[in-house]
Amino acid sequence: MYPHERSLVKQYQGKPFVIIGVNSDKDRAAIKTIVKEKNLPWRSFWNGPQGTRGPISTAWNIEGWPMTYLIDAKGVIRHRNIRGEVLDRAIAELVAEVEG
Amino acid sequence: MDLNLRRRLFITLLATSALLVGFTSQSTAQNTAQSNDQEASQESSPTGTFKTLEAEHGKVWRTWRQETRGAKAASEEERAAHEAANPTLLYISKFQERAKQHQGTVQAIDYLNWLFSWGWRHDRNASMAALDQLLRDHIDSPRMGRLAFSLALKAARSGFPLQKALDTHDLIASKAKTPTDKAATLYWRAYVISETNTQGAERERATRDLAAAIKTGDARTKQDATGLLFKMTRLQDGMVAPEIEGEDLDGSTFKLSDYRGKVVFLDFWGDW
Repeated sequence: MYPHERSLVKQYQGKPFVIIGVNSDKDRAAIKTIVKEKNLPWRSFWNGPQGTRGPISTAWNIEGWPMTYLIDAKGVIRHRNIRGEVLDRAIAELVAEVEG
Repeated sequence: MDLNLRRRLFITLLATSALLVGFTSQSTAQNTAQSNDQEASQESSPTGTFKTLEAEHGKVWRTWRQETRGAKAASEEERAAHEAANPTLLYISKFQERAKQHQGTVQAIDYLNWLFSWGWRHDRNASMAALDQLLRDHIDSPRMGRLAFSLALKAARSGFPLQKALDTHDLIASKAKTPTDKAATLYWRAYVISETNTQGAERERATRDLAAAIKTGDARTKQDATGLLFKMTRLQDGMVAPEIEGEDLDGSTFKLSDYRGKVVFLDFWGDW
């Protein structure tokens, strides 16, 4: 997933698209180092010291990781758990909606 | 490992593999199921206990599975021969024998639950016969919670007929001896509705069942039902994403809605 995410960030630089993570690693200091070392260029909420059982993923009823949502510019959920080319096409469509 | 995490990991595993059957201690009524397991393992019979036979099957099955992976490049004939040597088929008769020995008693339930689970993939007749017997002889047992769980997973992911699953959950719920057992069963019924993306009146009923389960269920059910209700009523396509407010990895507070005006790819991730 990392290479795909890096390329999405690069592709949509300056466009109305952003990756927001909810990170479930228990050790915040350690994950900060990993983000730097592996060059993971997106902002993440931290799910807290309980990891996958933290408050955000609990509220969102996340049962399998990774889980993803594609949300449009109005804040509406449009797709869940899509990947690969399907994801690429969906992002392109939603960004096109914003840019008219 | 705590039960919540086990359940979540198990469901993750389900999403990526065909290992749908045979998991033993998963149920919303976990506490009940666990103490029953302990009871069952203390009951000995001349031919050994359920736990022993289950472990024995698990071991030979895992070996067989590994050989299956190794036999990928083999000829079609060899693969067919390997498939025919699936040890589960033999164990189905062993479990049937035990279920018969203990027929009508509480010990039979574990064997029948196993037969329902493993039979669903390997021997449909054995599976359905075990289900019928559970419903006929043990309908009001607290151990039916495990059936409610495995039935839900099979309906959600392995082609068990939807309506039959829902009707069976209703039957189990209607005979439950305690409000908590009933709530747990109706939680699994709602889970089926959610996972199969069933719409209409059934969906409305599922949300009502979940609201009731939050009131009457045990702690486990309350938590599961709360999560599922939120998912069904707030996290569907076309719904405004619920707000998230929290700290980023550097400790700065921000909100999901800060990014209105942009398309957001929200990614629940970890570096595992």
